[in-house]
Amino acid sequence: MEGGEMNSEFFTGLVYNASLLLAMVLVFELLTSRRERNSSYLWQVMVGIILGGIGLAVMSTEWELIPGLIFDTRTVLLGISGLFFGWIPTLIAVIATALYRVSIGGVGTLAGVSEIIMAGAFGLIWRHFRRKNLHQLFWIEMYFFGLLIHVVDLALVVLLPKEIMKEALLTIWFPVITINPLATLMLGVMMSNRLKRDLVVEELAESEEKYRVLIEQAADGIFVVDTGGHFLLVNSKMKEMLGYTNEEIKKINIADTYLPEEREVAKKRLDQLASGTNLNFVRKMLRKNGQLLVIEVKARKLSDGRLQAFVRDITEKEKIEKRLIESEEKFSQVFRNGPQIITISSLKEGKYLDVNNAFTEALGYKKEEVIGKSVLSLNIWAENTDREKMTEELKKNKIIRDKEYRFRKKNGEIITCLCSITTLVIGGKEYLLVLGINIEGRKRAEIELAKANMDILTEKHKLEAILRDMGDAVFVTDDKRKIILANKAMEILFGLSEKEMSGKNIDEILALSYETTGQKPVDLIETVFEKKQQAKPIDTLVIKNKSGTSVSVDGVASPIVDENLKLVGTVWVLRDVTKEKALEQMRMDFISLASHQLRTPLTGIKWFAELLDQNAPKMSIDKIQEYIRKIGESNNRMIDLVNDLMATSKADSGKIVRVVSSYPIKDLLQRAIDEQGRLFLDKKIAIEGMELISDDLKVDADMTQMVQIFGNLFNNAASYSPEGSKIEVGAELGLGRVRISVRDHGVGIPLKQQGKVFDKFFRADNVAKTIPGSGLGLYVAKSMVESHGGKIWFESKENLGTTFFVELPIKQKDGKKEESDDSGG
Amino acid sequence: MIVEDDTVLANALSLALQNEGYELSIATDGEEAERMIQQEIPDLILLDLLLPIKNGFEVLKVIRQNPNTKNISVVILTNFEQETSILEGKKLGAKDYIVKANVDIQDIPEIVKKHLPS
Repeated sequence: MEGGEMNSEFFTGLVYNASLLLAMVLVFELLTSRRERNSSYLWQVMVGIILGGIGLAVMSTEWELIPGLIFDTRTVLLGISGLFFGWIPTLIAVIATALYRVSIGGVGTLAGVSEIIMAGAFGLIWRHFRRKNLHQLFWIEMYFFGLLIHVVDLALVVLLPKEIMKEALLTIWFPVITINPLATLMLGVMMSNRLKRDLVVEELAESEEKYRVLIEQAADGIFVVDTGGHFLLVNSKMKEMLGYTNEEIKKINIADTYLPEEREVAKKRLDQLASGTNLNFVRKMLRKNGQLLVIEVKARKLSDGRLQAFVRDITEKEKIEKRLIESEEKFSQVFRNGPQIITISSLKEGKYLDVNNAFTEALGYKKEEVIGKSVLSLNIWAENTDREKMTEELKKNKIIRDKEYRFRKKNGEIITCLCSITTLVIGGKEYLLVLGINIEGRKRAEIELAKANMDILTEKHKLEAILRDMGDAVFVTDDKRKIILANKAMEILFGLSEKEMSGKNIDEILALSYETTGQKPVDLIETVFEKKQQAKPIDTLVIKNKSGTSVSVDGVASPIVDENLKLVGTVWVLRDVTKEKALEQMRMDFISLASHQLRTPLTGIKWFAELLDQNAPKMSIDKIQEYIRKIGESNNRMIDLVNDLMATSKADSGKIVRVVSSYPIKDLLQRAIDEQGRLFLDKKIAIEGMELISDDLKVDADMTQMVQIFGNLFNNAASYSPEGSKIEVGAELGLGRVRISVRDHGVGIPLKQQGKVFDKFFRADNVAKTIPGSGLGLYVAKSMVESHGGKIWFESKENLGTTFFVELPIKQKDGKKEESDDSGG
Repeated sequence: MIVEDDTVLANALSLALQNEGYELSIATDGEEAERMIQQEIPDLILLDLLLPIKNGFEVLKVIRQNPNTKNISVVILTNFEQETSILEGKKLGAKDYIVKANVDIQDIPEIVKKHLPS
């Protein structure tokens, strides 16, 4: 406005002007795209030029109140420009419109330029304060903004010459104050709306971008396919998973990512999805390089009918799970099949939650017989107090380690287990975890071992005792020929203590030599030490012991070899055979003597028979009779000798059977005398003293033997006495014994030979040639007397006579028994 | 000389040898034999071993110790047969060791003839 008179023409012009402005801004608005807005200075300059152009257009269609004084809606344009487009476009528009106004010239030039500057500045100032929420401006504010600009615009009338000031003000004030604020309001609202629309579009774009990035950079694979399975969209993660390039992806089908055998499944899934079903599944996905991935898929149908899927690579997860399962499987295996007994039972009731195979095997239950049952009802603990004590201890110490408990098997047997026990909390409940080892076998083995050890020890002691005390001399050497052990018999044999012997070389100690050759038994030592073979002496060995006496020994030396046949020592067993040798000698002597004694009458028979045979024809009857008598005599001697030998043999072997009974001494003596009756008669021998023997004097004895003993004594007495002499018999009672004596007045026994009287085959020198006899009678008599527990001895003087004494116990210890045996048999 | 304590055998021996014309003497124990040998040294002794008072070996030892009698031919004629005594007899220089029971009475003169010094 530049002022003027108020009239309808001016009002219409201004409306027209305002409409033009609005139309032009609308065209501008449609021509500019939101994207380019504010984007560059160039654009801002361009906007400024366009705005300037619009301003010029508006000003060129002005209403001229008076020449040089024009009114239009430039203030509206420039105010809105300042407010909505900023200072560059506004400055350009202000300069363009101001220059244009100056070029028109006239009275209103100053006022016109001023109002241009004022409107632009006003808009920019307003923008300064409302910059951030221009899109939120209310219409009322816009109206107020327009009203304020134009009130100031009207005030600029003062810049007109004074003569037209009043008229101009009166003409323009009403249209300016009504139309221009309205135009400002309309234009402002238009701009504000546009701004608002721009912002929405911008925000939408931003949001779209954000989602695009999100999809693109998602950690999961995302893709979209059509219902035929062709890829329409694949994010980078998915591409990475598939391993195909963008171009390749366009050519393949989703089914190609399935394993060949699963491709039917792919089709079915596509159909299901197309029908609107959401699917969640895990499958194996084939990559381009043939590698397999395990993927978890969530797929659905989008609103546009395409199919979208979210894919997660769970290959690793799968592996981990598999490992976890395997690991659990492992632990489960350990629990189930481990050699240790494992049970889990509730602490309070003792109910079994689980037991392993070792438990069922050890206790003979089936698993189902135990699970859910209580320890008490099954009577598992051999002593229930043990369990009570155990739970008490567990409360104190939390864990029990390696303690022995005894449990009862299903069949009632008791086994011992080495247990470690602790508590577990499962689902808020306390359980008992028992780990045990069945040590019953070990226990039994221990006991058996202890027993065996004991046995071995006992055996060892026994053997040692046997070794120590055995009659044979034993010594052991090491491989170096040193004595390491010698027993008692050895000590006695060598006259050395074990101490003296041990550690010494056997050559030093062993004063051994062969009896016949006198040489050392080198062969024995070599055989046992070098050849490692058992060795026996080839002949009797003789030991000269410490005291110098010789002992005959026999023995055996054995090597001790280890499992590698290496010699570790030797064992020698030596037996004193001195007595044996003597006995052997005696036996030999007896045989020699006996054969000699037998041969003598036999030779007599033989020779006289031969002489008879040879000489009988030339011999007289007397001679022949003499020879025959000699043969008969020899024959009788033979018979006597054989009888005596038999008796001797019986006596020697101790095999004389005694039939003991109680007999009057007198009867026994009488029988013996009667047997020798012939001899007594021949030699006119008188027996005296029988009448003095009491009939009551009885003795337990074997009658036959008694008759033989006394018969022998009577026979000797008669034989070695001269004709017509007498034999005195007596019997005396002693303390439980009876002593019988037989006295003769014969040749007596030479003093020198009295010690040999009871020897076998002894014949006294003074009778040997003249009086026949075997020399066995007294030997046999002595044996028999002694077998009755009696004694026999004699007193004798050569040429004066001999008295034999026999003392017998009245009672035989075994008399009764043998008597009853006799009577019973 | 015959040294024999058994009268029957001494009798048989003397019967057998008398027929052959030998001059005989008989001793019936060791002591008697020794005494008789001292008196008259015999050409040959048939010596029994088991003799009263002194046995044959004792007699033989005495004979061998005496330089006058040590070379007498001695034949042991006995019924006592033991390896040790046979060895002993040989050791003491007996010409023979004859077991009486194993020899026939008619062979005795042959034995005597064989061992008589010529």
